[in-house]
Amino acid sequence: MARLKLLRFSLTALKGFNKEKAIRFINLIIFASLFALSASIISMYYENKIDQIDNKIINEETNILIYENQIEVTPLVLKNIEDIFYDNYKLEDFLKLLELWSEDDSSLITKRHTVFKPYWGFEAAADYGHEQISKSISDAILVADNANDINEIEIFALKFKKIDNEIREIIRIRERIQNDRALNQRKLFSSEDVESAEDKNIYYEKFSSLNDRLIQTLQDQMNFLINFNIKYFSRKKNDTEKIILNLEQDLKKFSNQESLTILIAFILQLVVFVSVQYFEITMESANAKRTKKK
Amino acid sequence: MRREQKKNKNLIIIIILAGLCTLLSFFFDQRVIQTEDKIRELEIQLNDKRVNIINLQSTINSTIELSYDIIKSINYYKDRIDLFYLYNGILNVQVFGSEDEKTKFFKNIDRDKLLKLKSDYKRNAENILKSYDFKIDEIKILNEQILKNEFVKDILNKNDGYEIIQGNFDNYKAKDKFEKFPFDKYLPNDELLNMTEEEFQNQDDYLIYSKIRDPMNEIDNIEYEYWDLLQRLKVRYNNYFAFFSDDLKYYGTQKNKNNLYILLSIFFQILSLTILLFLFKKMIEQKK
Repeated sequence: MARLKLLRFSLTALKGFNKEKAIRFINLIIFASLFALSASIISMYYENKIDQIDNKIINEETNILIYENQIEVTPLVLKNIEDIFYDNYKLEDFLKLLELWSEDDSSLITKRHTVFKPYWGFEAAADYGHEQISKSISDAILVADNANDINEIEIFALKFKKIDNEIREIIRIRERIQNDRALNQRKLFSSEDVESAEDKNIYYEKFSSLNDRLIQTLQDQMNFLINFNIKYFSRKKNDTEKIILNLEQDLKKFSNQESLTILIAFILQLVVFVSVQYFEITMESANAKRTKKK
Repeated sequence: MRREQKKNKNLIIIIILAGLCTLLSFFFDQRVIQTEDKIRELEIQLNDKRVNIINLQSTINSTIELSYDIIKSINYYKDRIDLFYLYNGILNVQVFGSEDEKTKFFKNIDRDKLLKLKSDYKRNAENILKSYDFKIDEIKILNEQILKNEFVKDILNKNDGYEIIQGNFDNYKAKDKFEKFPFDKYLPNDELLNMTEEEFQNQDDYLIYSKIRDPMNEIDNIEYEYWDLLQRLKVRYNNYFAFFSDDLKYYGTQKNKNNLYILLSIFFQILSLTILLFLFKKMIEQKK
């Protein structure tokens, strides 16, 4: 039924259409189709832009994973290093008093308790801090995206190198002290002698200067963590959040423009399609009429 | 009677062009479907890589923390057991030894108070060793969590030398080793000074002390295994992160390609309709 109506409409339309008018109409539709083509190209341009922005947002969000991890981990690392100081100072005052009190009874509190034992805690904390700083430098390099970042990382990498060299130097001296003692014990063993309490105390005392250097190193590490990890990664996180916000605004703008262009392209395409269908039916019905007459 | 249509070369060319454009539109439609499949796969891969980055990040963090926690806590237990061994020996001399052997510091302290101190030390030592065993259980559970990680499994399968991490942590426990410790063992100075180092090390109290203390030294070496594991995990983490942006770029290229195919499909669709309009125009122009 609908088809018949359309046929009747097309026939009526053809009657009222002269050749010139029909050609003019077709030219107009061809012109509209060119607009439809342009609109579709423009919409694809917007779609590409939107995809690029989308990818940038994904990339920036992945960077945020690193910033947040560093921002979360750093206070914990600082707390762990601080704990070593607190524990040591809390016990050190008490032990030193006891050491002074029992001067003649060297076996009660020795340099082993006040110097040698704390050394291992400091060294473990320095290694731990070193590991964390090395990871933060490597993370910073991974997310650096401009010359300023690289310059800042370079400055802090030099500081890290200095801290790293200091730790290596301390460990080298500690190993030398331990080796000297082992050699001494070997000599004593061959002469069937044992290490005296005084010798032991001298050995433990050698760690005293290393403890001071390790405490300074731990403080340097803490400064590094505060000045680099917290400041750098917080700044980067803020910058990235701003970038994401701007990108999202661009995304919204392009998305609106794309929707409008697609709508225009669709309407023009629909007009072209309806016109083509109109001419198809008109032509077919005219041909059918002619065939009938023959 | 069959209608004879005047063969028009131009009309045929236009019809062929319209058909060609429709075919091209179908072809690019198919390409869109294929590229979309690829994009879906890439999206899954990208998501997996993102998950892997987070996974590696948390494994690295927990490995660093666990390694430091082990060193710190084992140092503490070593310290406590050393102090117990030392102070119990000193108190035994003060309680059971001769006047000459007693140190100035304890001389004016009442014997009962020293005995009370001895019993406090004993109780503390027992509690500390219980706490040490709990700590070993805790380390074991945390270590198992790290071992369950797919990246860690892969590293352990491909490399040798992770004996402690993969070993039995119960071997490091103090368990009931302390039960037979001779708390009141007193060694007079004369005897002690005449003893060789070997004889001293064969004393029952020293043997028990060593049985507890040596495994503490052994588990301390876990630090080196974790360090090695950590360096390997870090390499993987850096690679995943560095290549993530490359993968993202490739994903972007595929999406752009897909958009181009969509564009070309629509373009040829509109073009075929436009060509049809040209066809109708030609037909009307030829109409008498």
